[in-house]
Amino acid sequence: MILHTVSRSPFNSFALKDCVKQLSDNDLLLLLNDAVSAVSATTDQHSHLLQLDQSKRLFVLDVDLQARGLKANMGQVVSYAEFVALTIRCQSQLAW
Amino acid sequence: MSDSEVIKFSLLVTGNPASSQNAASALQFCEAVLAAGHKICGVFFYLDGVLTASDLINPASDEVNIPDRWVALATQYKFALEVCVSASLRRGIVNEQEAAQLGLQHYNLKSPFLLSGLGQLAELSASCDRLIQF
Repeated sequence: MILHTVSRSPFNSFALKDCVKQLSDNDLLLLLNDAVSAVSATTDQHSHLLQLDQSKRLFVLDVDLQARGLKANMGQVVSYAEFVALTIRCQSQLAW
Repeated sequence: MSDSEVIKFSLLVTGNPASSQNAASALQFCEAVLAAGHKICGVFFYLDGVLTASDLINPASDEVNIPDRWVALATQYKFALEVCVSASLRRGIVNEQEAAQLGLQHYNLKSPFLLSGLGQLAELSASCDRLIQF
């Protein structure tokens, strides 16, 4: 089980697009920094993200949403403490 | 792994402290790891992340001084701040020894940051439970 972390906006980078293609069935995805916009606006990866959300594998960093004045339309909103717990739950992390 | 177990983390920081949010994210993650009672084995600075080790960084007084925060955490929790030497020399981060060898008039490596190589990153990665990249 891998925790994938995407930090770049889906509107100026292919990081999220490339990442969702590589996700295995039980991998988790955490969006942080500019990538949090992916759960607030509609992106090309919308259906992928919705699927992940339904299987409870999509997470979004709370403070980065707040800093941008955005609201999450999907995904579980987590704190840094929960981010740490996610890295422990997964065997490894992959930063995109 | 049980919830109460102490996990050993190493961090890989590649973000420029002045322009990349990843630099601040790494610091906040590190603080959360320590607050949860886990251990930081070491932090390795690579690519633009090496700029964190400059002793000449002085942000405005109402801004967070990221290098100072790293030094405070590393001193309190006794972990190493390793900086990739080749990425550093490329970006003008030099210690006293390198300055003497290269015939440079100045050096600017902040204490207790240490210039080291990718071998050290491999060692950090092998000795910890989790390597987290920012």
